[in-house]
Amino acid sequence: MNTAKRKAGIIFIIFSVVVLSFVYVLQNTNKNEIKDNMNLSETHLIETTATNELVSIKKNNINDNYSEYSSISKKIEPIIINATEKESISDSEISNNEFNYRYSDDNVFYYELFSGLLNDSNIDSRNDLFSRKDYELAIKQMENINSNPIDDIVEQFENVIDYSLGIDFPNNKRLKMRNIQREMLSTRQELTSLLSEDTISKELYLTRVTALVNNSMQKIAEILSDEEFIALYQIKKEEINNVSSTLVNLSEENYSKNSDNY
Amino acid sequence: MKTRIKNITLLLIIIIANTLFAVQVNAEDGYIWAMKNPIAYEPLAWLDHTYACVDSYYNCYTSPRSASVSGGTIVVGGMANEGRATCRAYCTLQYGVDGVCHQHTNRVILDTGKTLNTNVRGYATSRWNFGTYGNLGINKVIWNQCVSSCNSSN
Repeated sequence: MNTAKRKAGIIFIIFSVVVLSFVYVLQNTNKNEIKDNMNLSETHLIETTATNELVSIKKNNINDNYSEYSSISKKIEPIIINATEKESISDSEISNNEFNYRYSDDNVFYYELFSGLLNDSNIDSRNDLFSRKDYELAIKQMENINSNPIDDIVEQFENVIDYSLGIDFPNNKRLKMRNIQREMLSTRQELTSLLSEDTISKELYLTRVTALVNNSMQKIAEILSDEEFIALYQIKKEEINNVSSTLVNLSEENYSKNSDNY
Repeated sequence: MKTRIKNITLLLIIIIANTLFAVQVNAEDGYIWAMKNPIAYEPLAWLDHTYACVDSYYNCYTSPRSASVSGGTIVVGGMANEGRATCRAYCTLQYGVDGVCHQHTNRVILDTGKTLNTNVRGYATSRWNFGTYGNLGINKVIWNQCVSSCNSSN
């Protein structure tokens, strides 16, 4: 009897492991396909006939690391174009790498081109690492509900400095930048409190914050070289006024007016 | 004989329960991704607008709500609970005070374990001002409460 029970127990354990593994693999097959496809770093030229059937794909790079997208197409439904529309797209647009294609076909083949990720899987890896570090830090900060939000933002921006300027970026510059940012955020928080108490109007709030952001970024610009500033903020020092005025004054009304331009 | 039948029945019940449990755990996961789109309007040309989609291009969210949720290219994506992502899209974010579209997008894609990256123009600047999820301002506590509420209801 004991032997029978033992055998039954062993069989149960083995069967459970097999079933659970099978289910796990099934569920993750889709995820891996999608992940592979989302991390593509090669460019492709797509040829099609006038009958709207996908004929062939030429790969520009030697890296043979892509798979079919039928699993993605079931989940993602991007812009559909037919052959007539395709003929109107010029060669320069095809090489522009800034659009989505979907060919309606029985196999529902879906393909997307990425800009900024051409021929460099290092950029993929760095971006991946960057966003994961961001996420982990943000979760840690969210769990600490009593933390000062100013400290949180300053700590988060350290990741941006690490990514854009390198982890060996001089500490003395970092310290100065941190102090400027902290001062800016602190003043902004006071203004935000005044706004929430209706002590100041929204217009006055935006005016004050514009000036504050402008001044703070000018101070940062004095610390960083031209190249460092562009690497970090992706704008030139001369464009600081543009940044502070548009970012801060980007009210909902302005945004909806501009939406036609997107 | 009866004991054997009982054992086998019990075994089968446990196996089926295990299988159903394993399938159910991730039944509500879907693909969630962030998109970026350059802004044609000249004063905003230094900025990429972003939005997040949950499982379909017809189910996309951004801030402010009136802004565009179509076009552009994918930045990041991953599998996560669709219900939570959709719930978080409606968490309070005062535009221009707590954050902008970048922070809102990060909120929606929170469960994917990823955030936007520096492929998004203007992201560094908005991070400098508002952080990753837009914590500064009067709504940090409200954001945390919203995360907890979305987690518990989905």
